[in-house]
Amino acid sequence: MTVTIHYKGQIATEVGSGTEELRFDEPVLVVNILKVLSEKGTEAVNDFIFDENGQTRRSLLVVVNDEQVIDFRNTLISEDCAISLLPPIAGG
Amino acid sequence: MLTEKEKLTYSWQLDVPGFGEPEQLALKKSTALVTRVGGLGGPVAMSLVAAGIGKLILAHAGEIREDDLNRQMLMSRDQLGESRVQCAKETLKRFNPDTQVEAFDENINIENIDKISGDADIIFGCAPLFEERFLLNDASIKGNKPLIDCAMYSMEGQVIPIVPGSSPCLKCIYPDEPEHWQRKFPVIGAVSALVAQIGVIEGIKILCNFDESSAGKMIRLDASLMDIKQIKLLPRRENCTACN
Repeated sequence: MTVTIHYKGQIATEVGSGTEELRFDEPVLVVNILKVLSEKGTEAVNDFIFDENGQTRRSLLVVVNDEQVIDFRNTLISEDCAISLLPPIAGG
Repeated sequence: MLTEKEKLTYSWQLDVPGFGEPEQLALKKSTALVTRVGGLGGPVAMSLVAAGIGKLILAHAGEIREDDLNRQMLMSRDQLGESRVQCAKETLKRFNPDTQVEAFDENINIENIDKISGDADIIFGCAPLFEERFLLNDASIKGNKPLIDCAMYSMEGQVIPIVPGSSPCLKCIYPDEPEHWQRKFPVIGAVSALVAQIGVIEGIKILCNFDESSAGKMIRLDASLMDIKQIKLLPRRENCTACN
């Protein structure tokens, strides 16, 4: 299956790209997708996703097919989908 | 009752299906707090005044700088060095003298939040710092006032309409202090203005009980792709430190 990642806000600036595709042969938990992104990315990307204790940051919005999810450790992705990573923004 | 002059002024929007004299009167009776009045808050304030809001409360400290002027449309180059909020007030009053405008030459903080937000029926959060936005969130909950949180970054923007008690508050969505947000952010004024208009539409819907509010959702736009979508947010957090 294909998981399309949409980087938004400051993460997109850090990654230097808005979108990438990941392929998985088996169903995968959202937390493991985040780990893949963290390992592929720079230290700064990792810092956007995980805190210093390795926990996912609670103020990072993770959106699967236009719905927010927070239970990353129990949300299983088993078909093609789009996942957006939305860091908090406050520009006025 | 609307006056004959008001019926004329707002005749084009009174033709919008579902938006009639009761809705216009609801706007006329409403007070909105807009903080601040820069790239986002300026167009928010202007569109509220154009639509016929009864009273605006503005809060924004500081004087106009050259680098404000790519986006802060209530101010102009000949006003460099003058009070931002007073210039904004003058512009708004010129546009619609019937709207009362109260201007505070200060940014929202823990000491002044009650004084500045007390009379508002609705709050438009357009501040560049989360510290200020979270104070507005607290005021929204404490006063049971809707909060329209408008935000942007670069070519992206979002609006979160919050109805206390029924939709997730800003702290439900961002429970921890956002560590990565920086005071200086990339901004094209047109993107700010676009986000502002979405915020105003959502505010008018709530104030006038008109059309369907997007409370419980985040309206997210990406002007690079010209993509706009609604994201379904999770319900209020049971352990939210602000609203529970």
